[in-house]
Amino acid sequence: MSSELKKTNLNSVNDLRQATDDQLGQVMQQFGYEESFALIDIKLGLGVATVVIAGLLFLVDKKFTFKESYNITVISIVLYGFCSGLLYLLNFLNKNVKYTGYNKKGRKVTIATWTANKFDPIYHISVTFGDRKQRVVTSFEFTKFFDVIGFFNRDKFIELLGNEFEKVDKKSL
Amino acid sequence: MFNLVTRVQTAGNQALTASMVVTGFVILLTLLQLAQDNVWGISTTSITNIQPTSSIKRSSQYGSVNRKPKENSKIQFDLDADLTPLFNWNTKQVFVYLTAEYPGKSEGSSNKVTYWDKIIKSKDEAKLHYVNQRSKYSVWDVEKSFRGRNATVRLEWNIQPHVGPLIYGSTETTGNFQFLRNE
Amino acid sequence: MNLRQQITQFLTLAYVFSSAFVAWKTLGIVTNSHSPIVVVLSGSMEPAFQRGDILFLWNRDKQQKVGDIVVYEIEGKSIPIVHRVLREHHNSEKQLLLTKGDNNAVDDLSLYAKKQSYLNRKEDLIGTVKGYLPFIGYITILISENIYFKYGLLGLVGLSSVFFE
Repeated sequence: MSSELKKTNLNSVNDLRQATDDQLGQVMQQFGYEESFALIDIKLGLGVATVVIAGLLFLVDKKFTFKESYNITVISIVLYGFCSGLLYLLNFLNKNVKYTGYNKKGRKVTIATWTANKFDPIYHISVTFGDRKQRVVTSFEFTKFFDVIGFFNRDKFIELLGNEFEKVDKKSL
Repeated sequence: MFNLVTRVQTAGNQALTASMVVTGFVILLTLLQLAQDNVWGISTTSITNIQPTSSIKRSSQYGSVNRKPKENSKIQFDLDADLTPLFNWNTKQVFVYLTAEYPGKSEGSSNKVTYWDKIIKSKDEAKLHYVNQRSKYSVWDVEKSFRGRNATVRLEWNIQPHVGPLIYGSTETTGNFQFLRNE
Repeated sequence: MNLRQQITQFLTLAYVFSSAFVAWKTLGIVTNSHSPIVVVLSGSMEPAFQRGDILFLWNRDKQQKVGDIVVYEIEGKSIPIVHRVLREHHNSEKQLLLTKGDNNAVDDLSLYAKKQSYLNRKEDLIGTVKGYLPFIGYITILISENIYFKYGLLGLVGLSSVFFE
């Protein structure tokens, strides 16, 4: 959309990474991939579930005495723990994953991004194609695709990524 | 501003963790100290010359229900105890109490009552010596009388620390008496 | 994507409250007490406990012992009382207790309900005091009783949420 007009705070490495992550959807579109929200939706669903369980428990707590609500409370705590545990596991297995997508041929791409610390303005990115058969792990300095005012240069970023993809495998894009 | 908030938050977290660790240490050291001073094996106490008295009361203040007669019991006793091992750097106060334990009517029932208690605030007050001391409380049973049962008398203590768990124990010596038959 | 972002932001905030609440309820279940942490409100147990001390309760002891410090509630009266067990009578099924505050001259008989001569361990107790932390609870008393402190603290919390991302 009109995200080209958004300025990013050049002094915050966190903001820079966040802004770049937000662009991944449109960037990968140029390479022929549609974003899949399955993982995100499952995680959101689990998160909402924990809040709903806690909310219902709160209502029960208000209406009934401790002894009356004992069993329901135990069940709720177990369910809450289960959903939380699942969520934690999902996050652990998909560490730093910011984007998943599929192209028309059904090929899956998973992108994980991170920054080493709060101070180094380097964007680390790991792109995995088709269930770990091919992986591109690289990093770019933010200065390469953010201009001095703070605008994200999508074309430049696509160019940088594209170079890396070509290096790995010229055929399978 | 962002920096200030983050720093306060980090400092707060570190302070919380540090105080929890320190508290854990304090509790551990306290328990070790108490074990070393053998507080659970104080055998220098003597509880002797226990003389029970018995009276019938009809006021609700003395356990009577609907003005029915209720046997009330008091005792006089001699007590010698050295509770100085209970006092260390983490002892805020020691609560001592003289209890009498006796059986109840049905199988598996038991009763314990407090005749006398005292708050000891420092090591200097921790050596107890009483002769013909009167009990503080007039004591009654759930039934209307004590039925002349036998009672075992113990001196029990409770250490209130400055920080940490409450610690309980009793001295090893016991005394005995029999409730007067007063039905 | 906007909806997802909104839900994510909502969850981040809601998670703080829901996890704290579930943690509190879990503590209550583990200790079997509906109020596993209490603040001392009166001076009837001085010098052992002062106003503002925080007490940690445990309610899974089948029977209490004379000398235990218990917290109990009387039907019809909302304030829980923290006093010491003076006498106890029990059989295999139930236990009756008479309590007294260390700093009081007489036992708690006048505090119990009409016609109630003893506390019933199973029905009336919220828990036994197992450990305590001095002073910290005074902040909660300040919050509930001192207006300036209450609004001052609310103001600080409001300010900090503005500056948080």
